Amino acid sequence: MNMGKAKKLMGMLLCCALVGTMLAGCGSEKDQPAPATEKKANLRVGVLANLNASEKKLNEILQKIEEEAGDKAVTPNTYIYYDNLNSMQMGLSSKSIDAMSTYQSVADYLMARHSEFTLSNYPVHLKDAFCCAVRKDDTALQQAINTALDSMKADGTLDRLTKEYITELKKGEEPPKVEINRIEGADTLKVAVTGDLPPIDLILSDGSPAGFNTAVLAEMSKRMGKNIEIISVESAARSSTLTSKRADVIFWAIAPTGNDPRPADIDIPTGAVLTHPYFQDDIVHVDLKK
Amino acid sequence: MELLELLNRIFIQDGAWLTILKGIWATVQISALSLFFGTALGALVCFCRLKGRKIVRFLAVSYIAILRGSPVLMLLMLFYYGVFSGIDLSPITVAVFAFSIHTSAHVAELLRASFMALDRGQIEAARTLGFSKVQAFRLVTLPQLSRIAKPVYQSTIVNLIQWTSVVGYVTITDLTRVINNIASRTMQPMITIIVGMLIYLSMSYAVYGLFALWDWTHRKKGAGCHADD
Repeated sequence: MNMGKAKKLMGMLLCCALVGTMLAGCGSEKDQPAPATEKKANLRVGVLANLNASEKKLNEILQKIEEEAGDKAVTPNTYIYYDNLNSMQMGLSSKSIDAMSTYQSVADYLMARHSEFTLSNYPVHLKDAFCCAVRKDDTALQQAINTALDSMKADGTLDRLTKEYITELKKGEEPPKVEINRIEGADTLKVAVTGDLPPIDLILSDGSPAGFNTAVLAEMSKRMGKNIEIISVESAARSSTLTSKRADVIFWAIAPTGNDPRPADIDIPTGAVLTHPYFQDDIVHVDLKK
Repeated sequence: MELLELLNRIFIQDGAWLTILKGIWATVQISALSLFFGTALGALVCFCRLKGRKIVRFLAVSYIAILRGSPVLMLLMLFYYGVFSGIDLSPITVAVFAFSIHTSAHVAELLRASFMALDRGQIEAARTLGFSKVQAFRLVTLPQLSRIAKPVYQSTIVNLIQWTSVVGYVTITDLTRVINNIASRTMQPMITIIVGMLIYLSMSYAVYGLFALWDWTHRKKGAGCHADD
């Protein structure tokens, strides 16, 4: 071996040793335990973005809720907003967030399919109410939907559907297919669904919309005497779909009235009014098993 | 074995593969129609940009600048939920319109760049030799133009296929939307996205393959002509 080659080889070995030392150094520093006096590190929590409430406003509200919950040893969480459940789930799997905030029913559906996820012991502070949104000038439709939902609530249909499509859904199974029968000569309502919140809203393998929302729609169709045409749209475009009259009804989740710390109108789409809620669900935190 | 079972459960069972095929068809349909109309319109805009009067040139330049600088998702939503919201046009028609005009701006610029790269002397020589304007264009300009423009045009087609992945925002169930729906239903986003990406990759390589086949056929024809000589 000549002198030049030997120098090159030596240089490469030194570089490798330097890089190795740096990486090992980084690792050992990270592994050191935090000083006892330091506050517990805050969590990075994934949250589905609300479409009409700003992240700043939501951060303020969520941090206020945590303060009021009284765990002073924990610094406020950092909230990271996601467009859909898929990206939030990938965020959690890749550990770019420490927990994801979602509905109890969605968390159960997820955990039935993935053993690596678990419910965190984070206390339940919030719940959301699910309702329909129609255009502001469509008060007759709002009234008709409210009447149908009220009667479904009164005769126990909503409870039955909740059991069948959400709470008593067998572990690992998908909600059954929903048949919406056609009513000859009746008007058609266009309803936009997103399909990205199973088991409440999903698209089956054959491409047909299904889940609790679709089951509620099928029942509403019977009671209102209207045909339902379901169109599938990205979650972020729901509001535009409604206001541009591409759809007559969309599904929406809101803060329930009562003791909820969030203002009731925090996320109501502009130009839309909401119907009575037909379902409520707790917001829980899911994280990776340790 | 487990992976195969998982793939079967996600992508094959209960007709899932048929839904994926329908999504691919929607993507191919929008891409092919937009490419056809976009190329025709792009050639026209390029002509206006190069040969038009001052005002026409200005309009062509503005058209290209506005459309090339606008994100295609914004354009799509603007047309579907704004400009055409009162007209009963299907979402696919609006998508084809939006992608066609967006593609036309890119095609106009790539044609202009190709024209500028041409050797003007050859056209002048052809005209001196008695070729008409049309003959000079067909026999001298066009073959060279297509050769220069081809690599960038291939990329434009591949870009167009990828741009169509946002049509879920205007209620169209294309390949991306089908993939997202499957990911949500099965709660297996990573593997679903990888397979979706592989399908898009195959479509892109099918485009490159078609161009390679075109080249190969032409080379063969050319070699045949030389052999006859």
